[in-house]
Amino acid sequence: MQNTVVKGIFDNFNEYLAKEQELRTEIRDIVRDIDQAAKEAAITLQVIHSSISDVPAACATARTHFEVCRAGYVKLAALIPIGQYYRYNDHWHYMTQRIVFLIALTVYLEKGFLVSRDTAAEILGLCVEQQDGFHLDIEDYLMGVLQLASELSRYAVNSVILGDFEKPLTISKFVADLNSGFRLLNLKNDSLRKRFDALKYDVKKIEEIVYDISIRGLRNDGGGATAPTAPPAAATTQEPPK
Amino acid sequence: NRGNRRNHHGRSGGRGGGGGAGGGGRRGGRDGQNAGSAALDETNPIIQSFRGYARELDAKHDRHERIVKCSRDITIESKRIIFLLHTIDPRKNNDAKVCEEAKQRLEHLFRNQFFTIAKELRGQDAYQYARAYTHGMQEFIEAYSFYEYCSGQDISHWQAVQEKLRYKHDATVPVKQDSANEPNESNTAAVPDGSDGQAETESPSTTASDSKAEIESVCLLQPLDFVLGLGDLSGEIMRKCINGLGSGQVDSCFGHCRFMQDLFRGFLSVSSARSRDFTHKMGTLRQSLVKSENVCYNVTMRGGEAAKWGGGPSDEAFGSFVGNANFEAAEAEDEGVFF
Repeated sequence: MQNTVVKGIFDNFNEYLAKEQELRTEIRDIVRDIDQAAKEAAITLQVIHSSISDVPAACATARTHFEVCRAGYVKLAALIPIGQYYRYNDHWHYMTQRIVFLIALTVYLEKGFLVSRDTAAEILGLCVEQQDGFHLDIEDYLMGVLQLASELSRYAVNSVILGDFEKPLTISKFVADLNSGFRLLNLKNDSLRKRFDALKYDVKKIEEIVYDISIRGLRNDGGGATAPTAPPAAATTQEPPK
Repeated sequence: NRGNRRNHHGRSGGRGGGGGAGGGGRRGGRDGQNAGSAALDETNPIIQSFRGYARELDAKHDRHERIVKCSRDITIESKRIIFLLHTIDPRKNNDAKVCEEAKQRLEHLFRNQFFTIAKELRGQDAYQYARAYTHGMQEFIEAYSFYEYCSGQDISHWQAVQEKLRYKHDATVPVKQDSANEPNESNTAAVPDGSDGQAETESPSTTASDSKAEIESVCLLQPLDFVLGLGDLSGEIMRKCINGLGSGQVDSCFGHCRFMQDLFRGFLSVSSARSRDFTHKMGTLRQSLVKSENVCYNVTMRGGEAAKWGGGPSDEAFGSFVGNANFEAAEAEDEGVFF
């Protein structure tokens, strides 16, 4: 008698797991496609470290890849049952963080400001509020922004190499703003906090670059008038290795 | 191991609190600096948007902490109920009384702690906070199914328990009858009772079929939690089996043992649970099973002698009786009912 009850429970449990497994397989397939597009966007954007003149073109190409991501997210949103976003989000949250980073980088290169969560969500065709449906999780967004800071510290180094002494100064200002923004958050002892702790090294790196530029009088306003004319020439001679 | 995990959880929570306080301190410092240099003013779009993000994160963390607190209460009370159920002693003929009290206390948990969690989860994605109360839930399932087992009922299906965790209640804030046709609106108006006034709309996931001023809250029971709870149950039944031997209730041992075999068969049939807890629990279940099978073996082998041990209900007596050197060690590592 007992036997049938227990057996019934476990049979149902197996059924339940099988259904979940099926859905996860479908999710994985879609996630792989989105991930591929994100990777291509990332590769395209690497150009910024080797050539200044190619940046606008790279941004435009990256945006076409974001369109592919967007289509993938629409498919994903249709697949996830309402109210179960966090049941499956382990499949896509790393990927989403990376895509947010790529979007933030693109927007920064184009316009020079931090992409807002709303805009990032809009580019990916996601909602902002959890209640509205498939949304962009706030922690994923913030993680993406933190990755941006690391990339910008690298970008600052490379723009000096390419002869642009102005860029590190704007980057420094931007990252300092980011830093003070993150200080407004009461972070719990989780992955976001750990990632935030690494931000100070990026800030330090960029400040050192600014220091090096300033101490040598290479700032534009400081009389270093050689900077604006020289770099484009340098940039055109060095073609990026594709 | 479960105890450790809970500790770890507590520790991280504590440090998080400390970190929060530290953040507050830093913030104070930075604000002061701002007033001096005016480098970062509140008109900066980054600062403005981050103020919003901070609010959102705080709300999330607070809710999480409240649920964790509830979960701890549930864990403690569940352990006490299990302890109570172990006091059932056929010689004193007290099972009806103990079961009745256990039932009352379980009902009390349903009505209070779980209701609180359900209210916190209303309009939220329950899976987002599922980890905050998974331990409480498992412990509760253990207590609940143990109660059912002790009182001679069949173990409930998780859907039956889930039904009990579904609450229909009046909105504490009076709702206009006019807006009754739009459940979303009535629910928005009703939100302040559970979630200290944050403007959150009802998620469509909670079936808003009720057209009255009544709203429904659900405390999600994950089937995995239920099954893990059943895994814990095996430890209690093993204990009951051994106690049965101690108190001379030799016949009952076989029934307990059979039940555990069924349970183990069920666990074996699970193909892919995607959970480290699950494999761990299965190892423990197997140990408990082996222990109670040994009991039955000994009863069969020397049943007449066992009856003589009927006077001493202590486990030590049994340990020496079985002549199993591992017995006490195994008993010690078993997570304590007596906490």
